[in-house]
Amino acid sequence: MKLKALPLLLAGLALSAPATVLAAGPTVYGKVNASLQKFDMEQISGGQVVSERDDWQMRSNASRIGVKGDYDINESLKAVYKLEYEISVDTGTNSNGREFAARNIVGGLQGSWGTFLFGRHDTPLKLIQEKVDRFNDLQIGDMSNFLVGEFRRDNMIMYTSPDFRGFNLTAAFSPGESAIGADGKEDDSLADSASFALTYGAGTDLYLALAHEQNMASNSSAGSSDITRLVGEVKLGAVKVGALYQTARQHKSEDAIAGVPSGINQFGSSFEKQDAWLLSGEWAATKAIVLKAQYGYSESKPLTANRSDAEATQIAVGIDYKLDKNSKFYGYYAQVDVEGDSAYSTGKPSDKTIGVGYEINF
Amino acid sequence: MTRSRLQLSLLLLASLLPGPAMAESDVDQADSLRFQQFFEDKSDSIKVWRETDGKIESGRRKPMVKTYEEGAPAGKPAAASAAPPAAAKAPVAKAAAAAPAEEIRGLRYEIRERYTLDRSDDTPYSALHVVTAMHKQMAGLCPNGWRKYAERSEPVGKDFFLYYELECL
Repeated sequence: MKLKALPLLLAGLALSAPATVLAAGPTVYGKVNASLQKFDMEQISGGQVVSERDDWQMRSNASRIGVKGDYDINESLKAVYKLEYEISVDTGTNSNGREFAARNIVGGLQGSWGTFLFGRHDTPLKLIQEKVDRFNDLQIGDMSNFLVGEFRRDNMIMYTSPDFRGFNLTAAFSPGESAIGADGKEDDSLADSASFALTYGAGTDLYLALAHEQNMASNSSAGSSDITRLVGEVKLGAVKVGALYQTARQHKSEDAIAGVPSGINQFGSSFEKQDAWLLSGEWAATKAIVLKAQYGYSESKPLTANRSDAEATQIAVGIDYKLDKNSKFYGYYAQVDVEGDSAYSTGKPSDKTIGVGYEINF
Repeated sequence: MTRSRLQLSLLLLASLLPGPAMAESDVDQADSLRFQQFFEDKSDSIKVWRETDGKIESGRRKPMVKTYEEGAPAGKPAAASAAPPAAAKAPVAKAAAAAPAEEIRGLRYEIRERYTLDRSDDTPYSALHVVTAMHKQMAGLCPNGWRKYAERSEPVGKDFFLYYELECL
């Protein structure tokens, strides 16, 4: 070998040798979100609207702790995992007396071709909302108080494509594992429940998403809802405006829509279809202060033929005071009114709350 | 359509086009379908322990400083031009050497140097000598040692930039 070539060879070796890349190791993340709430809630009793709750309460709002991580299996394949649990910072235990409640717990594989995840996870349809629901996780403010479709499903197998010019496609399915449906038959096929989502511009100033799911409900119970949801959000300077529209139907004629809000007594659980929409906006008035507002509406048709539709209306306004990038104080007011059938009541029960709280993300 | 209306329309249209992705923390992205981004480490991700030595990490990671960017506190790159690197790095090295070890530990940098595989008027470094220059930079930034996380090369004209990502011990 010529001596002149030696430096070049050494340089080539130095550059081609694998860099000392360390496995990233697990990362902890989570949030503590707690609030002090004044509730004023009503229910129907004996055909009359009566007070159900009128008190102050401390609430933990989907506070959670999670561990995520990844490591290289080879140059083109990564193992990924996410184990996330809800914690109740108000009482220490949830309604089942447990300190931790599983949220999204998945493992999977990731490459340039996309991500596969296996486990218990929010459905793609639920996740396309991003932050259009400005009062997500808050008492009476969360949009699940008036519309269906906020499902977390067991036994999910989910694929998300890599970003293609801003577009992402996600598909998920879940075997029913012989759960007995409302029709009395077992859900025993590979993909008894399925959910699909197409998103554009996630995390940017213009976001659009469309999702559809079939035979879906929470956990591993037999699914019963077919839902189509459309979401959009645009950011114009300090202002964000978002909208959501969805239509839900019972999966089979024997089913009822799954996930109807239980906190509003007028609703019950026996509906065959629901149409809902939401408009929301926020304005970053200063670097620290964000003003938010939301209006939502749903119309649900009862299974009982001679009863008229139940209409739910949500109004919420709030203010965030950011302490830094990861923490804030907030205050808000939310109200959901339900106008139901005269078979329930001639009145119009209303759930209201005003709350102040803090959120610490880590 | 008048010119001002056209300009206004274009401005409105531009404002509707996707802008740069906003920096979000892990917990924000956990509730989204952006799994590719979610599993990436953020600049402020909280590491639990290092798999290499099992040590507990000290907490939230410090943001990555790109030393070659305008206004970066670690000083300008040595060989984006043909200037000798040692002179440009000297003040940085002195400042880092004078700082207490606790302040330096965990600082994260991305550094770069230009090199050529042939001959270039823009850099004095060959593929071999650029490694020495990079090590001088790292020694200046992290006088107590460093851990190198990643390495890559990107073409620039007929030359290349060699990048290292490192964290001070």
